[in-house]
Amino acid sequence: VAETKNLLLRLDPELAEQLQAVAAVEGRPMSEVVREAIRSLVEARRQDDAFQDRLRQIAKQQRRALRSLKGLDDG
Amino acid sequence: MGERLDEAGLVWAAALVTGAAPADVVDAVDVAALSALVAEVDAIHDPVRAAAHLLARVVLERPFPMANAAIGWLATVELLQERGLHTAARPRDVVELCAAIRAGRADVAAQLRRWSTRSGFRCPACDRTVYAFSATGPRVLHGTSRAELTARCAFEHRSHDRHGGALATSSPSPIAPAVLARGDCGSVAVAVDGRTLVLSPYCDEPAIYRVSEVGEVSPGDLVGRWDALVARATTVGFVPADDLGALV
Repeated sequence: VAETKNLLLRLDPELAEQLQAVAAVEGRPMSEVVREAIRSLVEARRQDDAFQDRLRQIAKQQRRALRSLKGLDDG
Repeated sequence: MGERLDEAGLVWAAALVTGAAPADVVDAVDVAALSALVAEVDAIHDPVRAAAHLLARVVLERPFPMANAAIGWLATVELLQERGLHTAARPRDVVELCAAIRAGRADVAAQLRRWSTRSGFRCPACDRTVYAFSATGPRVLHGTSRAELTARCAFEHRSHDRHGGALATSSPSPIAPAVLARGDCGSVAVAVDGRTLVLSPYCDEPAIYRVSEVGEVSPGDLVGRWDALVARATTVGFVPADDLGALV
């Protein structure tokens, strides 16, 4: 079922073509290729100290809300 | 969507909330839903509406395997902050908002607009960030005058008074012991913390008083013979007369 979902990505045409080409050549679903692309982007973001610091700071400020919301999801 | 809050940013938010490794989040996330979400939010220019769409989509569509409401809220606050807005809300109000989203009866953008204020207000007196916090009512910070920011900071941080001056430090007021009885030759019986102490002149030069503790005192002891009361007292120390102030 997952493979039948449409992917709505904001990719520049060149990158979209590359992804489609990779998916076709490797015989993999497009979603898997996209997942791999996201994985690369996630790794690159690891080096972004400003982003990481801000995210941690927000998580700290919002810790009570986040804890309560996790309970909401679990419930 | 935001400068950094794209698919990868959402994955990092999810990893932070759940404690999972980012790579594991990528493996488990609904890639199609995540990508669609980012594309949709990216197309909305108004920051509050964009954040509202983000929160609603994450809460309703649950692209992550767990803790979607928490991940959505963290991402929402991050997105607003990226776009120059500070968000302050009481935790229970945030939970109520997410529950209302699920129930399909929330005006998310209106609520976020009430909770958000332009970032960057600083207190002129102490340079702390000044927030306009009001979880249920209208925003209370209406202007950015020096006086208003200083007073607002005093309310939020309690680090100075509303004019920027140092807060008055109150020194603990000494508790005057209750005088129970006065004896001959300047002796006095006082009650201190539930104990009965007898202060008796011990030395004239320098003026020193003996401090004795009486085990149990009945009202009759205080009006009877002073000698009998003192005889039952146990010496616990000596203090300069000056330290006793008006007691002696």
